Formats: sequence, structure tokens, C-alpha cells
Amino acid sequence: MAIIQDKMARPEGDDLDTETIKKNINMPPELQEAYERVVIAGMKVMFSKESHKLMLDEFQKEGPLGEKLGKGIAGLMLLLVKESNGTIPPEVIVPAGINLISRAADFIRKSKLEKITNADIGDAIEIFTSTILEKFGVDPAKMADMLNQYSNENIPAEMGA
Amino acid sequence: MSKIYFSRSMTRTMSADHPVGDPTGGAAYGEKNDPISAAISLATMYGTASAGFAAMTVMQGITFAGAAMSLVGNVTGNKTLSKIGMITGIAGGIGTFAESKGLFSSGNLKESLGMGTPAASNTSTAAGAMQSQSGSLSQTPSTDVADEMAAARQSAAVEKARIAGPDGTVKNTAAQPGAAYQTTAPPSSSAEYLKDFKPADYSAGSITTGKTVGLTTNPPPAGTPQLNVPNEPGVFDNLKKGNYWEATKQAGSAINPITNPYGAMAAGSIAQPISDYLSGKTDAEIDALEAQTGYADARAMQMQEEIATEKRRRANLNAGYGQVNTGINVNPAAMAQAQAGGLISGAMQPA
Repeated sequence: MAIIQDKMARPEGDDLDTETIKKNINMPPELQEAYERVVIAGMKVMFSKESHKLMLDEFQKEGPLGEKLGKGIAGLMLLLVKESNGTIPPEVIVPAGINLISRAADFIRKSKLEKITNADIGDAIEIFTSTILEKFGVDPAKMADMLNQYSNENIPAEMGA
Repeated sequence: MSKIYFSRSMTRTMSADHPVGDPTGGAAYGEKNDPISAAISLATMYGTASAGFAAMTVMQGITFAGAAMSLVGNVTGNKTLSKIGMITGIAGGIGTFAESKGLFSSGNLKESLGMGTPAASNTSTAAGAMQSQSGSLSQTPSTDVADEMAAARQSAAVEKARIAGPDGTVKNTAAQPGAAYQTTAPPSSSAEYLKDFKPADYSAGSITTGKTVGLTTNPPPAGTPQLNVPNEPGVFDNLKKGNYWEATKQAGSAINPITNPYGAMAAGSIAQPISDYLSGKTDAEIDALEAQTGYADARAMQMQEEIATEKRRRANLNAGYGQVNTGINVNPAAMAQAQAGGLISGAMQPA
């Protein structure tokens, strides 16, 4: 499925927006509602009147935009997990976080707070994912090793969808 | 004997070309013997019970977003995301693939998040746990209990011989002179030696023991499960029991507001969104959020406008207001063309 979508999509040069990313997140029906609720809760934190300025302040700090975005959303997701009293299924953390990254990127682009590129979004998703996995016990170095071992040769083609 | 493993495609091809073979297995029946399949099968068998349960569950979520990650990876040239996205397509998803690579063998969630110690985390087998506990009982893990018992028995026999009378009975030292000896049968089994034994209490750093019966009182080595110290269930245990409340409370407890500045800043305002999440008013919340997002956009644009105004003010100040920049660009060409239509409409054409 991923390979087919890659070949169909490939919006070279186009900005990655929420709709494009959202279409490629395929949640199973039993987790769909939880996923949407987590996204909404995250959006409320990012965009509500009470906490929106905090997000703006965070983006105006020094450092690469992708890193600020990735770490910020990772912190937000971990906080949601903590404060939700355990009702958030762990499976929705990464998909919901990626959705929130894309929404934050859309906001930055529209508001012209900073110039955000597709590479920034890619960096943000990578940093967010590695941060979340590290918090759940996956050693980033081992993860990198695992990905380095990956190649088309040691994964038969038909195992990829 | 060297073995040759076929890929799954080769195995599948052989099953189509040679349908006759072993009636209970083999290539003709689609048996998967390639190393990847074997690794995935093994990982799947013990995956749910391993220490990497939580990580496995989170990584399963990556599978759902694999297409998006692959897309972003391809568009941006981020190879990590591309690989993650492609691995999510394999059987079992990236979680199983990572498990087959031993990614969760360390099970370091509790260490990284500072959570409770899962039961028997220091010993991988029940036998190991039992051995550790017996070591705690004897309080000298390196010494065999049987040896200690024999030494204690010998010590008791020597003491008995010292105070015994000529008929082999033990004299009651509390009795009056001339009174009859009272017999005291020696312990006949190790159980009798241990019946009054009380396990050591290592709480608060102190070592208190009951009747030691000649046993040493060395504290156990670090990490040895102790009888009197109950093991707190870890995140894995709670997740496996479906107790997400405790699991996430423990996981979240390690979030450091200092190292998570954004999370810390948002903490003060997060209570309401969470309660909204729990309320389940999804549609209404979406409408409200759209309005709030519009507010956020407007607020950001307002900030941009304020910044631009301030820049103009400073520029004019530096120029001594000799030539005031109002921020409005007038297009002279449009003015010339629009003379007939009126000066104002012409001047208002975009630059």
C-alpha cells in the first residue's frame, strides 16, 4: 500500500499540508475515534486562547524549526498521555502526533511566523517519532541500526504491501 | 550440514510448480522457512509477553501512519522516514520487524522513565527468581544453604556435648542442684532449624533478623529480589493487564517539564482539553476548534502587522521623518492610466 501511494502521490515541489498527510494515515475503525479525540485535544492545546501564546513563544525560540516542531509535539503528546489518565491507546500516539505536526506546520505557513519547508516537516516527524519511541524504551541507536540493516535485498518484495 | 533457505517468493513458486510432496508440510504447502519468516514467527510468539510490550504497541501505531511517513520521506528525501514507511508494509508491521531485530530486548522503559520494577525483572526464569529468593533467605547468596545447615547442626551438637550429662541428656541449668535432667531432643531436620527463622528486613537500610541459627547476615547483592520489599508493577505489567490508568500515569511521571518546555508551558492549560477529550463531544468540539484556529490565525497575523508597524515606525524615526513610509505603495503607472476614472481609484491599484 505504501509503495503504491508513494508512486501515486509524490507531490514534488508542493507543500506538504494536513490534508495530504491525513489521507495517508489509515487508522483501524476501532481506533479511529480515539485518534480523532487525541488530535482534537492536541489542537485545543495548540490553538486555544489560553495556551496559544505559549506555542507562539515556543516557535520564536532559537533552533532549527523542524527540531522545535518535533520536540514540541512530542512533549505535547506525552503530556496528553500523562494527563488523560491512561485512556489514550498507545497505538494512536504516533499517528495523532504526525497529524498535529502537519496542522502546526499549516499554521506556521499561513501565519508566516516562520518560513517552513517540507524538509522541516520531515525532520519534525523524524524527531517526534524517535523521541516518543525513546520514551517508550526503544534505544535510538538500536533503531538507527535496525533501519540501516533494512534494504530491499533482505526484505522480500512481496512482504511490502 | 549447511542448509539453504529460500525466500518467500521462491518458496511460493515451488509450491505452485511442485504440488506433490510431504503431505504435512514443505514447500508444496507453502511452509515458510526463510530466515525473515522464522524471525518474525519467533518474535510474534513471545512479543506480547516481553518487556518491550509498550514499545511494541506504540510502534504498531507507526504502522497506521506508515504511508504518511513514507510519503513525507519521499517528498523531503528523508531516508529514515522512507525506510520506516516501507518497513511498515511487512508482515506484522514495523513493531514485529523491530522485535525480530532485538530492538526491545533491553526493555528499558522503566529505566528511561524511572518506573517501578517489573516482577522478576532481574531473573528471566522462575528458577532464577527462586534462586535469588533462597539467596535472600540465607542472606549469603554465594553459600549453599545445605552447607549452612550442616554447620549449624554441628555447632548445635558441640554445644549439646558441652552441657550434656553423662547419660547424654541436657541439663536444665535453671533447675535446682540435684534435680533430674530434662531431655531436649536435637533437631531432626532442617525444617526444625528454620521454623523460627524470620526473613531479614532490609527496609530503611537496616538489617534486622530473627533467630539466625548461625546464618550470616550479609545484605543481598544489589538487584536481588527481597522477600519483604514488594515489587511495584511496572508499566508493562499494567499495560498487559489493561490498566492503562496506572501505566500511563507511570509513563507520564517521567516527563520532565524542564526538558519538555513546551509541554510544561501547556500544562497549565491542558486540563480543559483533556476533559473535553473525555467527554466525547467530538462534532461540537470540531466546530469550536475551527473557530479557535481562525482566532489563532488572526492573532498571528495581528502580531505580524504589529511587527511591521513597529519596523516602519523605527525606519521613519531613523530617517527623521524626511520621507515617511506609510506602508502603502502607490503605483504611478496605474495612476496615469486611471486619470480618466479618478485619482483615488487609480491610486488604489496594487503596486
